[in-house]
Amino acid sequence: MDKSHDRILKISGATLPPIIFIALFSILPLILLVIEFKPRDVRIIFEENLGIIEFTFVQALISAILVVLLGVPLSRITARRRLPKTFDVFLKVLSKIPFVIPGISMALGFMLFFGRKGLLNILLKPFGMSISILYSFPAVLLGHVFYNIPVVVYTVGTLWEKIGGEILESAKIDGASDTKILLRVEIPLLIPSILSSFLMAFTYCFTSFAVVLILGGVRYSTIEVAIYTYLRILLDFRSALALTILQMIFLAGIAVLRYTIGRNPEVFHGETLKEKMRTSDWIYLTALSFAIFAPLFLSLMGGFVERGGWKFSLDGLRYLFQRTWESVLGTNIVDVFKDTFSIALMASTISTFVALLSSRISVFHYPLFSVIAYIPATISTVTLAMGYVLLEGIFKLSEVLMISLLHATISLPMTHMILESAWRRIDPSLEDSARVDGAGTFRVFSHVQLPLMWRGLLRAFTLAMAISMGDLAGVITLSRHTFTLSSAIYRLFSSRHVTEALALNSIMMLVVLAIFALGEILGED
Amino acid sequence: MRFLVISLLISLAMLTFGKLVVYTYDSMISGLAKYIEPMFEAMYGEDVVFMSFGDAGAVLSRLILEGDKTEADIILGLDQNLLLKAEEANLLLPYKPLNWKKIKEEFIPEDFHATPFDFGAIAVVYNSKTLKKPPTSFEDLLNPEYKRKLVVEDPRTSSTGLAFLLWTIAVYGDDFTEYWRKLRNNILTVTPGWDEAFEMLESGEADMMVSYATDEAYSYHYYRSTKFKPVIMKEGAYVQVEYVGIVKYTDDLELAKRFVEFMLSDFVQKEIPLNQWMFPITDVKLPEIFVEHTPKIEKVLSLNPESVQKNLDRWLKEWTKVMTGF
Repeated sequence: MDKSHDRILKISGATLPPIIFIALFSILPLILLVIEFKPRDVRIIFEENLGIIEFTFVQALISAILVVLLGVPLSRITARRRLPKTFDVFLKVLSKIPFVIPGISMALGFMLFFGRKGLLNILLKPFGMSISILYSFPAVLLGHVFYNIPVVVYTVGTLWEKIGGEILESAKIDGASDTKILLRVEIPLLIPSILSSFLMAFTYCFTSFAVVLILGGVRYSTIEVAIYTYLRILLDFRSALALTILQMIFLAGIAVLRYTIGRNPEVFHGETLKEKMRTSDWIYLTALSFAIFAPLFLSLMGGFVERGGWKFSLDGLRYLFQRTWESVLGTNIVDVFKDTFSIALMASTISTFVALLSSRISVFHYPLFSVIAYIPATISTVTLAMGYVLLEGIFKLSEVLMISLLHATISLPMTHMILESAWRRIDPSLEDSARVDGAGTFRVFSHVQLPLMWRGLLRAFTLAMAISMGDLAGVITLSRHTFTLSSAIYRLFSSRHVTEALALNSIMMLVVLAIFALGEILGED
Repeated sequence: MRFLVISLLISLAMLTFGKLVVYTYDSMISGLAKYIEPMFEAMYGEDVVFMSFGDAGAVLSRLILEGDKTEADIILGLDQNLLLKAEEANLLLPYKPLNWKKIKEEFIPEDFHATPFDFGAIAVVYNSKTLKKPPTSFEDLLNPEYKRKLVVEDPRTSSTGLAFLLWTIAVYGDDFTEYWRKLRNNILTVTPGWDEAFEMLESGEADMMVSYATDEAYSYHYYRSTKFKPVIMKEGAYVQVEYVGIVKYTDDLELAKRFVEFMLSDFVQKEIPLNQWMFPITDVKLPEIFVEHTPKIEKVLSLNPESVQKNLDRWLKEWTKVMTGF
C-alpha cells in the first residue's frame, strides 16, 4: 500500500473525534436553540446595540495590547532568566490562578487592595497620597491584564524557551548587544506567537463579563452583558441568540486571522540560553507581582480575616465545618468536594484527549484545525449552557456528565493552545525516524512523543481542571442536584452566609493552588 | 470509561417517580424550603424535591427551555413581573385555592394564574456607624452629602437592581431618566449582583446599598447587630410579591394543588418571616423581631405588570443610556 495514502487515512481517523466533539457539544446546542427560538434579525440587533459593540471592541483592543506589552517581558524572564527553582514554580503556579477565581472573589481582592480603604491607600497614606482607580477604565484594563497574562506566558514563554541557544550565541559572537538580539532575533521569531496570544487575549477580553462589570462599573459593559440581560432579565431568547450569533461570527473572523498568521516551527527545537536575573528583571517582576498578585493574595486571605477589618480570624472556617450544610446545599461539604473533583477530572480528561488530537492535526497537518478547536471561545458560556439544557433532552446523560462535557468544551481552546505549543517543541524528524524503524502511530506517540510532551499534557490537564472548577454560569444553569465548589460558594452567598462563603472560597483557591503546584513540580522537565 | 459507567448509573438512579418537583430560586432552598419539605412530606406522605437554577429569572428561563419535557410540577418564587412572562409563555395552569380568602385583600389577584404567598419591599440600607443622617426620600438621596456613597445593583443583571429601577419608575414615571442622571453623582458604582454590593457595604467601601427592608431584622436575628439599617423612601414602598404556580405539564395535578393550598396555610405562613425574610401574605402574627426591626410600609406604590412587560426593554435601554452614554 502506498505509504502517503496510509498516512492520510490515519490522519482522517484522528480528525474525527475532535470534529464530532465540537459538532455535538458546541454547534449542536446552538442549532437546537436556533430551531426552538427563531433568532431576531442580526442586522437589527447590531444597530440596536451599536454603542455596546463599539465599546466591547475598543476595550478588548486596548486591553489585549496592554496584556502583550506587559506579558512579553514576563515571558522573557520566565524563558531566558535563571530563576531560583522555587520561585520559578511559584510564578508559574500563580500565573494560572486568575483562571479559577470566581468574580466575587476577584472583586474582593481588588477592593481590598485598590479600594478607598484598601491596602495600597493605607500604604500611601503616610506620604499624603491616595489612589482611586476602581470603577474606572484603568481598573478594567488592570483586571484584563490580570486574567490574560497567563495566555501570553503560555504561548510566547514556552516557545521562547526553545529558541536554539546556538542562534543567540552566534549573534553574540557577531557583537550584537542583548537589546539588539531581542529586537532583531528573538522578537521576529516570536512574532507569530505574540500575535496569536494577542488575538487570544483579545477574544477573552471581548467576551469578558464579570471583570468589566465589577471593576469598571456600569459605564463599561460588553456584548456579553447584553446577552445576559436578554436571557435572564428580559427572557428574550430571540434577541439573545441573534447577539450570540453576531459575536460568534466576529470572533470566528478573529480565529481565522489567527490561523492565517504563518508559523515557522523549525527553530523551536533547541534549548535557549538561560541568563542571570538582572536588577531590572527583579524590579519588573516585583512591580508586576505586586500589582497583579497582591489582590490575589488578599482574596485568598478573605476567608481568614474578620469581616470589615484586617484582623486574622478563623470564624468562617469554623462555621463552615461545624455547622451542617445539608439544609443549604442539600448535600454536605465532603460531597461538594467529591463532585467538584469528579467533574473536573472528567472534564479535563475529555478536554485534554480532544485537544491532544486536534493540536497534533493543527500543528502537523491542517493548521485550519486550530480554528475549529477555537470555536467554543467564540460562544457565550451562558448561551451555550442553555443549549445544553436542550441537549440533555436528546442525550439523556447524567447531569454530572453533561456538566463535565460543557467544561471540557469551554476549556478546549486553552488546552488546544497549550498542546499546540507542546507539539511544536517536538522535532518532527523524531517521528519519521521512529516510523522508519517500523513503529506505528500509537507506538510513536507512547514511546517517543509522550515522554517529551508529558509536561504540556500536565499543564493542559491542570488548567482544564481549574477552568472547570472556576465555572459558575454553566453549573448553575445545568445542575439540578450537583454542586461544585463554585456553585456552593454562590449558594452560600445568596443565602447570606457571607463569612462561610469567603472561607470556602479561600479553601477552593488553596486546593487549586495545590493542584497546580503538584502539576508544575511533577511535570518539571 | 469508569466515570462514564458510574455517571450512567447515577443518572438511572436519579429518574424520579411519583414525587412533587418544585423549581425555585437559589436562596429559597436554604430558606423556606427546608421547613416546607419535611412538613409537606409528613402531611401528605409524598416526596417533594426542590431544584434551583440560580435566581428566579434563571429558573423561569430554564422552565421555558424545557417546555413540555420539564419535570417541574410547581414553580415557586416568581415575582409579579416574571409571573407575567410565565403566563405569556403559557407555562402555568390557573388554580384558585380553596382558602384564597386568607390572602390580604390588596394582594388578591384578579385571575389565579398563580397564587401570591409572600411579599417584601426594596429599601436603601445604610451603615449606621458611618452615616449619621440617612436619606428619607428619593429627592433627599440626591443630596451632595451622599456623593459616591451609594452602591446599586445593575438592573440588567440583578433582580434587586431591577426592582430598584422599577421603584424609581413607580415614583417618577417616564421622568425616571432625569432622576438617574442626577443620582449618578451619588453612586459609587453599579455592581452586577447583590453579593458584590453587600461586600462593599460590609468592607466600608460604600455607605449605602440597595437591598431589602428586612435586612436589619435579619442581621439582628443572626448576629445581634443593627449596624445596617433599611430606609423606605417617603414616596412609598415598592413591593415585590412572590407567587407559587402550577406548571401546565405537571403529572400530578392533585398533589400540585395541595402544595398551593399548603403555601397559604398557617404552618408555612408563620415560617415566612424568619426563613424567607419576607412578609407573610396572610394575617398570621409577625415575630417580635419583625415588629421592632423592620420599617413600616405606609404607602405601597405599584406598577402595572403589563406596562412593565411592554416597556421593560425600552426602560433598560434608557437607563443604560443615562448611565453609560451608549
